[in-house]
Amino acid sequence: MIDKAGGNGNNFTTVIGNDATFKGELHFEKGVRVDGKVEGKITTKGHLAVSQGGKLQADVSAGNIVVDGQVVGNLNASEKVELRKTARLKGDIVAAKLLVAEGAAFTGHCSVGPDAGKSGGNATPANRMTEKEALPRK
Amino acid sequence: MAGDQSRLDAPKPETREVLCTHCDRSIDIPATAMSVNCRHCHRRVIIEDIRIKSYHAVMRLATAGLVEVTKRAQIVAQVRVNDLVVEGGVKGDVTAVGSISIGKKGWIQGDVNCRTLIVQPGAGLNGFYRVDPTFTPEPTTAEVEQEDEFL
Repeated sequence: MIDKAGGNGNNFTTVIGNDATFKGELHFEKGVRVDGKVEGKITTKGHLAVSQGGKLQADVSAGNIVVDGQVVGNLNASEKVELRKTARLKGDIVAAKLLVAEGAAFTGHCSVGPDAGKSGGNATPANRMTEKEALPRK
Repeated sequence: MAGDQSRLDAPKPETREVLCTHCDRSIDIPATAMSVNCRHCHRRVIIEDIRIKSYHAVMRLATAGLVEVTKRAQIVAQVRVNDLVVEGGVKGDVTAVGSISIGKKGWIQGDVNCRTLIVQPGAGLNGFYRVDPTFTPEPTTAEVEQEDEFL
C-alpha cells in the first residue's frame, strides 16, 4: 500500500484521485500518485506511484516508479522500479534497479542493471533482446 | 496375523507432491527421496537440492528441488527447477515452479517463467519475464528426448 508519502518519504504534490480518469501526456517535475486511471504517456525525472486501486495504461519514463496497482505499458526508470505484492504489470521494464515483492505479477521484457537506465532512449528492451539474440546460444 | 496387523497399523511414510521435470505431471514421492522415476514418463527425476559453486555448462539442469548458484558460480544451461537462488550468474532460459531469488550481484540472461520473483537492488536481468503467482507448467505427454543432464 502506497501511503500519501509514497512509502519512501516522497511527498506527492500531484495526485490523480480514485474517481479521476486522465487521458493524454503527463509531464511533471517531482512526483505523482495515481489512484485513478491514466491513459497515454508519462514523462518525469521524479517519482511515479501507482497505488493499489490505480490503473495505468501508459508508457512511463521516470526516475523512480512504484507499482501497487495495474499497469499496461512500458516502464523506463533511470533509477528504480518497484513492484509491490499487489502489482500487475504487462509491459517491458528498463531500469537500473528492480525490486519485485512476492505476489507481484509481471509479463514482459526486462532489462535491468547499472547500464540499463543510463543509456537513455537507446536502451529499449527490444534493442537489448537483439543484443541478446546476437550472443552465441547453446 | 499379528505381524500383518502391526504392518497395517504402521504409520504411512510421509509423501510430498512434486512436478516431474520432464513431463510436468504431478507425482507423489516419499518426503526424503533424493531421486525417483516418474510414473508417467518413466524418466529419472532428481529431487535433491543442487548447489553450483563454479562454472557449469550443460544442456539442461533439472531438479524438483532448489538450485543455488553461489557468488562466483555461473550456469550455462536451460534450467528447470522448483526454486532458484542466484548469487552468481545464469545464462539460459529458466523455468521455476516456485520462486526465483536474485541477489544483489546475481544476474540472469535468458527468458524466465516463475511464480514468484524476488530481486535485490543491483541484480542484472535481461530477457522475457513471465512472473505469475498462478503459473503451472503445461503437462506434456510427448516423449522427451534423451538430454545431457547434470549429475
